[in-house]
Amino acid sequence: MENRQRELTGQKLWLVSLGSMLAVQNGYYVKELLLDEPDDEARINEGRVSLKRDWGIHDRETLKDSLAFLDNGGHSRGYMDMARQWGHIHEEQCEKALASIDDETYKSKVRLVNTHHMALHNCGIYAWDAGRAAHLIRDAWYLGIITEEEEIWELLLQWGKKVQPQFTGWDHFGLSYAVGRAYWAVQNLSKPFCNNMYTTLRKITLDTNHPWNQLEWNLLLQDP
Amino acid sequence: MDCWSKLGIEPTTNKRGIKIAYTELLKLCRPDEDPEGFRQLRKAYEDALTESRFLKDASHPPKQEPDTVKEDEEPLGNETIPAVVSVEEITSITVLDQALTQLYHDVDRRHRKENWEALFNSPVSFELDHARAFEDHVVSFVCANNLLPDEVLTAFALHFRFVEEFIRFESREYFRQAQYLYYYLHSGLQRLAYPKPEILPSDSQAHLEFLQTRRMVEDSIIFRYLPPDELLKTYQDSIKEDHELRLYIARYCLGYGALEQVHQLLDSDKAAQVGGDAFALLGECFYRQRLYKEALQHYQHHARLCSEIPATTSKGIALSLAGLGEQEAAMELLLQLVDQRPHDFEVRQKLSEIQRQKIEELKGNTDGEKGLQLGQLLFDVGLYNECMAIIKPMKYYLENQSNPLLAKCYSKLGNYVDAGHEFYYLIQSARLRQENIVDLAAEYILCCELDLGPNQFRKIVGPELSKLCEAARSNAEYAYVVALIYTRMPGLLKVDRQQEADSKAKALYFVDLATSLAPNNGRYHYLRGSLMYKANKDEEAIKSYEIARPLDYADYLLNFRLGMAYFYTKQYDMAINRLEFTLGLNASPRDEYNLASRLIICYSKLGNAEKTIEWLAKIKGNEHTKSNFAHTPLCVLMDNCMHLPPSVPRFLLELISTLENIRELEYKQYCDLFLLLLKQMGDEYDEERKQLEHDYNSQGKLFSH
Repeated sequence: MENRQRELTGQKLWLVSLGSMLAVQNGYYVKELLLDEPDDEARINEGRVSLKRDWGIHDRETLKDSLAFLDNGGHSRGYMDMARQWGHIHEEQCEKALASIDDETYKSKVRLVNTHHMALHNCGIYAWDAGRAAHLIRDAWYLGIITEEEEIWELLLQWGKKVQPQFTGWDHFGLSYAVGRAYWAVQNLSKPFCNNMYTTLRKITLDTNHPWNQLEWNLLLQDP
Repeated sequence: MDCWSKLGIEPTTNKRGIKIAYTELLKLCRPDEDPEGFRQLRKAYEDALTESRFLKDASHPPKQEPDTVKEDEEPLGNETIPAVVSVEEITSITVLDQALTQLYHDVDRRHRKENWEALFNSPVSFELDHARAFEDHVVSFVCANNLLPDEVLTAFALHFRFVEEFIRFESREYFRQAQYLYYYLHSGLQRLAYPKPEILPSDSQAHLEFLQTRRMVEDSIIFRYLPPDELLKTYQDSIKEDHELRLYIARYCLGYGALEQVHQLLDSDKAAQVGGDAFALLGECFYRQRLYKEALQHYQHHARLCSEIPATTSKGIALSLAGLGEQEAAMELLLQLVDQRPHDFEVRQKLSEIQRQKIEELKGNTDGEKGLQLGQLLFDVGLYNECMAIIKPMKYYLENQSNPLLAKCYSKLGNYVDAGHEFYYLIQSARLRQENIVDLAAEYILCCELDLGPNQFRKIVGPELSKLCEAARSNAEYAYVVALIYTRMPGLLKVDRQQEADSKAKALYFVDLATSLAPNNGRYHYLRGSLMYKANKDEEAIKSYEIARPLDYADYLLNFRLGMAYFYTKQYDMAINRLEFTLGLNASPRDEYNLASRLIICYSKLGNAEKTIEWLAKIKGNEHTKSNFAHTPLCVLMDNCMHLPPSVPRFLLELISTLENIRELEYKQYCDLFLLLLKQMGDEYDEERKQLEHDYNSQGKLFSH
């Protein structure tokens, strides 16, 4: 276990950084494979409970089910469905059309989709699904659900290879993640809500020591 | 191959025959599977119809061709809506209606076409003897409800073959039914900028509109299946004259990233013909190509053509400026945009990016103008502690410049006492320099709005009030500040009733001034709404709160008051909407009771027995029910329950009987209503009624002490 905790560089740091948003938000390590101190039993137990409660993950099989869900569309699928309907419409027309709808949540989602269509028309909120997948994989390592380190890197690399061509850079990836998180949690698009949704991303953007501000997005990802 | 060969029929004047041939072939080349085939078939069909008219003219046909007569007389309407609907059918439709409603209201499920397909293929739909009734029911249902996603729409179109139905409905007599269909498809697709047609007008203009709508719907369907270059070919003739269509297709192409086609459609000359929006669209196109200079030119041109610059254009200008490295100008615009468009994360991200670069550039500067710039940037990005670390040593520098940055930092960190002190020193030193301190006073009010003490008010705000009032006459923000001062003044200073009334009147005057100077500012309307609400001007409160609502949809007080104002103005539907929403915002048990009791009245006023009972059941368990019942609208409630089905008064009766303090109620009218209620209940409560009547008549003490 002592050797497990170490600061990563290069490709491994790049892969771990896919889950950075959740790591920063929850105060976990961002430059290591481990999320937190390996000996903190209380934290590990808490992690197990929340992983089971929030994701239904308690072993390898349930982990793979969750990863498969994210891989097969996750929340991105619903977003893209909506983007196909509302994305191309000019904002003013979109607002006119929304005037006849009472469902505030639906309206807020449409506004998010419409506003970010130019920036996310190809990738949607895929970063939201991919970022969560990367975090789940790290979590599985931290909680001992997966015990072979090679397997962890293999899984992360699979996601990395899928994610990399979809985005133009870390900023683009971050934007897709932030919009995804807002889309998932949206009930209204009030200023406090949006500020809150953007806090983590702003923290990362302004932190020059964060891997996103140090690593090239187009790093060549190679099989071990 | 001519049109007749394509349709597989001999040349004929029989329109119906042409349509049948077209309909049959349509099954083989549906627009989603074979767009090119569909286009050719459609052309053949239209050509055949044109030629058939020529054939008809040439051959001098009899006045009434048998086929034509048959077509005209054929009861398409009866096919569409069965004349007699059996009880069994009604039951089926009712069941279907429930299933449709359930699915529609299930937000997670309704956006998936599989769920609708499952419904169409469910036994419910097969129970209907008349397929048309089912189809019409679906059409009228979706017409009456909100928009559905394209995917679902396509599932409808394919299932019911709406495209083919264009022909069935083309006959003028039935266009009214058809209009439902087209209206639905059109509004559902939301593709075109054309005005919506009126449903069911009855003159020839309506028929024209119908035909126009039909074209738009057909266009929309084709749009979804044709790639951009094919689309351009298909519409190359139509767009010559139709600028709106040209713009629409260009927008469609842009949406699919077909930038080359956008430029084909809109060069500078064409853009000038099409109008202002074309320049914004071109700006977006150039921006995507990273040609920032051209993008900026087009966006700016669009801005010049608009009386009020749309936020999307401002965003385009800001992003283009950033692309060109004009950071200062871009930052200024982006800061405004974050305020206007809180949900636009792209704008926030670009702003953060520029701010980070600027912070990096300025790092190490701890004094003078650059130190101040760095401090301001750190403040703007929300790093208040870091900002304090830079600007605290610059305190006297800031004071000399009357710069409230340090005070604002304290305020942001929740330290209103130190914020107040800082403002006080700033204002005092500015006074010594004989400077105008109206700005500082206004800033102080805005910063410390929540924590303004009477002393601070007297020392800082009081002396400046007349100057602020003067400045407020032409400045919305100052008018708002003065309205805030007068709103809070009665609470801060000991004032008599007359002074309090004067303050309220002045607050109303200045907030009205603020909203007239800046009609779309949510903050001003929020304050106005609250003042109007307190003054019992519910209609005005509603107007202002509705404008303020986008500022924070989840604001508890706003939603609470809005719900109540709708309630008091008897707009029960709207009241229900807001009151239920407010209940979802962690209402206290006391408010929960108040809101729920209003909801009961709303539902009972609307005659909705089911919901009335549902909410009665909810308040039954509320701890405030017992203590508040005497003061709440029980009387109104009982009165309203009289017109509802017996289940409601029965439930209310049971609820009342569980209340321990019912006998303590003082009002005689309760007794009368209560007895009336029992009478309405009939024999079931006969004994109880007699007993109560006896008590009431003989002792006159019932329910009173």
